[in-house]
Amino acid sequence: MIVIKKKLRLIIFFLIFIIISPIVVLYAKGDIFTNGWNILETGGMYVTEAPVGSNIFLNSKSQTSTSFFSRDILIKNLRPGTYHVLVQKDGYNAWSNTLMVKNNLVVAADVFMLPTHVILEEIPKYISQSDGTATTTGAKIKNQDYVDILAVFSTSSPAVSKKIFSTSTIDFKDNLGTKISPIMDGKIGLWQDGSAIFAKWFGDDDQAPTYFCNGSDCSETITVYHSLAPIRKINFLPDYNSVVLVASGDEIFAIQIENNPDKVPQLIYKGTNPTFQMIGGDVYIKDNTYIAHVQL
Amino acid sequence: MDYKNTPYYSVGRASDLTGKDRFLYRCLEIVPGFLAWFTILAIFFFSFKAPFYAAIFIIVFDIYWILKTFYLSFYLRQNWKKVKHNLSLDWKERLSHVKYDGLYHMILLPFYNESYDIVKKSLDSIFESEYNKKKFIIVVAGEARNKIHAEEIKLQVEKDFSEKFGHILCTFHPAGVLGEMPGKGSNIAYAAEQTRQLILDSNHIPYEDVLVSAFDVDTVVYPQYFECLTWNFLTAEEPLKSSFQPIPVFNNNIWESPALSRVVAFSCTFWQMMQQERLDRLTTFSSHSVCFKTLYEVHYWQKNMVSEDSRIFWNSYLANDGDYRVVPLCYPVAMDANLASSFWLTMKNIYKQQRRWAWGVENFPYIAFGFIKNKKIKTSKKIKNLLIVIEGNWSWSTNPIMLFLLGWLPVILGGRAFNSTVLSYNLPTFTRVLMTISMTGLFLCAWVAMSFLPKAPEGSGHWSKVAMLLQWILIPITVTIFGAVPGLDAQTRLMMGQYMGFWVTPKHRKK
Repeated sequence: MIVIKKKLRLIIFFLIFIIISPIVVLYAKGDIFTNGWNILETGGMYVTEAPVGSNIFLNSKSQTSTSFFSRDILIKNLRPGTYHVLVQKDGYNAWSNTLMVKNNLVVAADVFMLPTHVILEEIPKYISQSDGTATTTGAKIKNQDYVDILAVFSTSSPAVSKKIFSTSTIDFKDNLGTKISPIMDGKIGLWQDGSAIFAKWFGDDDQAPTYFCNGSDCSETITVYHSLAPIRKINFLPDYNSVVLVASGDEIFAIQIENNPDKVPQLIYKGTNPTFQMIGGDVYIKDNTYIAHVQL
Repeated sequence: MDYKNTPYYSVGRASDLTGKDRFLYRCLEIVPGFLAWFTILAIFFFSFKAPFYAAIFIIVFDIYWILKTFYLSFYLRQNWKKVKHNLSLDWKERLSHVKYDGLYHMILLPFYNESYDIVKKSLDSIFESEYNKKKFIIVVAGEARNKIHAEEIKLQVEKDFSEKFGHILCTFHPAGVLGEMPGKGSNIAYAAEQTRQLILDSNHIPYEDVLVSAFDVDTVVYPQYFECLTWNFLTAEEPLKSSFQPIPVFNNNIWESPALSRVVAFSCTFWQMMQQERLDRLTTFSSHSVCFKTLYEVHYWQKNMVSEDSRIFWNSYLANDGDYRVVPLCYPVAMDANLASSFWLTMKNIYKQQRRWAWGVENFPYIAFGFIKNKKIKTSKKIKNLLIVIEGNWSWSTNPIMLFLLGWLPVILGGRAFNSTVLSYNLPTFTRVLMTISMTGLFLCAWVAMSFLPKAPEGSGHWSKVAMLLQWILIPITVTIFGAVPGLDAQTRLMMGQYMGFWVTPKHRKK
């Protein structure tokens, strides 16, 4: 009796294994069962880097929202097709894109959202002698920070932190950011040609961000931005190798590299003739005599 | 010719043979290590070259592991009930219906450098047991290579216990005997033969009336252990073709041992409990018992190898042409958990002890070779046993590594094409969830472990008891570092022909 019971138990476990394994495997690779036990292959969308508390919409339908513990969200079981993804959060620029979801594949939605009002911390030209705070009246001395930062803006070879460009082959000469000598961050090259900004992947195809790839070929050149106003300066936004910082016309703005028909420049500063500089991993802007530290 | 009289019967390693036999045995020594490394390297290879299939394999393997965990937990629960039942029985009363006056218990207590405290505690527990002391033949078996210490133990044993048992004998296993490996096997084989000559023969005690218990020296018996053993021996279907296996519970010093040591110790106990419910897989381990007649006929424990405790089963199995079994006693004996003077020394000792146990893989070539040579055993039995042994060794050395370390490998090595698949995104989540589900089996482990705990020493607070429950979260560490790694270490050594010697686990108790 005991032996039969043991054999029966073994058979039951074996049957469970035989039944469960294919179901779990199919589900893991993105297949779902529809009515009548038909198997439907689905895909997914991986929404990353959205600020905590952002709401995610697919084709205008609310899907989920990000939280501290789940900033990156995988939306599963999407039928193959084109989806309009919209990410919103109060106080931030909305981000949207139109992405193609394919069978058993996950399309990445690399969100980049700046606050609608980026905080700029002014570096005063003068500070009071007594407590070091800025002042316009009374005893005042030149702010050494201002002097140092201004000096960086004045040089053609800026004091760029190694932290930012540790793997770069940046050419700090006058041809900075040209097709011949692009600005490099890792294996991504960035350059300016006339009023347009371009980016290209220079590494192995296998390592390339998906937006550089057309099938297995990842050597495409992406047109990042076409500017109406003359471009004064471009560079990668520190800590975001898929975002470009641009000084053009009377604005400084950030724009993602990836091909996204919906992408719009996200304004950081609007003035008269601003430019920017990276110092120690931070972004500083200068507009005539005004200098500020950008808090991102 | 009987298999036990062939030169193959007591082979310890390939170099004990010559010609084609030697080559064959050497190939068999390579098999377990080769399988383990092949598995691990194949996962690396497929994670790189075919990550999709590697990921599917990992998910299916995780499901297999969960089901195996639940499947085995049935056996654990079942055996736990039996143990509780057996501990509650009055075995004396049970034995009152059976005639057993003529039965003697020969108890072998081998030691090397263990202190007298350890030996005394074992002897005290035997003396305090309820069995008739006149029927005990106590053999305290020392090593001549540590003669001064052995002599001291002998003097103290004779002083404290000479009048307390029917017979007591202290033996010194000679050092440097040709063809022997220093260790427990050669020591107790010598002690058993000495006892035969000096006590059994001189007192005309029939061999079939003597039940030999080969204990580790730290073994402490429960009061009615020998009644339970006697009853099982007398009621066994084939008592002369059976070994008798208690459950080793490493709780002598459990309150003093660190959590990692406790988890490793209880894991071993649980494994033995599960094996006691799977008779086709049960072999002898550590402290075990067998009739002297059987033991004498199979030439005692093998003297030229490390894992004498499990090898004696396979010796007997081959000698009896497959007609041999282990009777589970479902009754515990208490032993020491690993404990040294410092935490790190304890960890080192646990690793070495686990590696020594894992060196039981040396049985695989012996069994496989024996099955090739002994034509009298049914082929179906041979195949079944070989699969059980090879699967046991393979899962010991690879499964924890596959579960806890290699589950993410396809994501790391799979490349961009694989990393953009739904499967790639699901793999870490599925692995994590499946592992969490399998961890629910730990509740049962914690519950059973608590039931085996002796009374907490005075002064130990509530935290000690809470720690006894929380310690089970260490399982992923213990099964990997103190399970798979020493297992792989032992199998690799055998594969490379770097044979291990017997390592005596130091016994340390806090004063």
